Amino acid sequence: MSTDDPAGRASRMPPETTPPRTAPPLTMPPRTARLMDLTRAAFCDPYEIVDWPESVGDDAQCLPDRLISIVDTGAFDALDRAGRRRLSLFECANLFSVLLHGEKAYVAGLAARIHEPATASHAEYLHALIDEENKHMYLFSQFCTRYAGGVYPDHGFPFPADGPKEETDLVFYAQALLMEEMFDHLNRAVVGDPSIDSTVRRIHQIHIDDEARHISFGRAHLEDLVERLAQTAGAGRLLAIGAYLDRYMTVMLERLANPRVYQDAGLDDAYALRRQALASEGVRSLHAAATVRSRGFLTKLGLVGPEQAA
Amino acid sequence: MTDRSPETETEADAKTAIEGWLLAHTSHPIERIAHDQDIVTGRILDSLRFVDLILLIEELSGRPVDRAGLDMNGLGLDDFRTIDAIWNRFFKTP
Ligand SMILES: [Fe+2]
Ligand SMILES: [Fe+2]
Repeated sequence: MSTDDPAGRASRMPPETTPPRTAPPLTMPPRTARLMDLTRAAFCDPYEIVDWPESVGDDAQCLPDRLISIVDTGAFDALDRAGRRRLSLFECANLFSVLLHGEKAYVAGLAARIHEPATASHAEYLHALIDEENKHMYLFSQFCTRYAGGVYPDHGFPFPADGPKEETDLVFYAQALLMEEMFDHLNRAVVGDPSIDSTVRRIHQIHIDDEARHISFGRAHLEDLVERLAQTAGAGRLLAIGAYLDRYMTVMLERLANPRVYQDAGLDDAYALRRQALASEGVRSLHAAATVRSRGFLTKLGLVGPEQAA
Repeated sequence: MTDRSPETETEADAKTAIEGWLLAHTSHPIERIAHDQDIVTGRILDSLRFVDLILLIEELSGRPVDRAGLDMNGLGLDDFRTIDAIWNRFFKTP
């Protein structure tokens, strides 16, 4: 059928019962419009933004000690400087991999939701956000592939969602925000340490700059979603969701202790080492520092009770 | 398909270890998990704990769950639905 066939066109017209689409054009909420302007101003070419050197971490660590999962174990004490540099490279690749897999899930979920009525007015910005997350995934995967033998595998598994859509949507956007806030803390810890490899710091800095906008959007959006859910769900339901989100934060951060990393760095008893790392004071205090801001926000929203916030 | 051959000591040990781990990590107030009990539908295991289960399987079986170093490609929830299924999928085959 040729495209200028009037009969063909007529047959593709919606039936007469379809109401005419007279709704006014959607306007972005002012905050989102502002984020869109900032996004335009920050637009970059991901294929040019980093000058990839031949190798990284030859004479610098790729992560500060504080961010190395086994920092508080005897296995770390036993490593010499070269061993620590090598471990820090794989730990950094794992951090990027965990973040990449989280962003991958976020992008997939956003793509599925973007033009739904609940987010339609934000859609223009969300397209830009997906673009930025894709750029991040590109940069992280380039790092892992060039210097660490590839991206570490994703062991998450998409369980079928259960519960009403308002709740699964809220959990979805909340998880994305929490991931962004926790990794913002980690990104800043790397950038703030001038002894860290300059390419690694550059990647973390790019991420910090973009994520500031995502976090601004995510906080406002989550506030809206909680407000809407609170009209129908009781406080107990909100606290149950909050408890789940709290566990989500722990599980995400625990993924930074990866037995494969220890094996790649030539360390023995990788699985036992992970348990030792997760029980250590160093990891506990890092987790507390990386989640303190988010816990405060969840408390303010009524998702975490004041007594659970500590 | 039911495998009626008696359990070897290795098999019994692995299954008991997985059951013990699940009991220690579930929010359900239960004391036993039958090895043919559905742990997914009943949410004895939830999606957040799943990553840790993978690590446990790897540690006990001595080999990576993602055989080719890939993501979870080719695996389905049914591979983890019961303790028996986990054994069959990740321990039994050479
Ligand atoms: Fe990102
Ligand atoms: Fe983001």
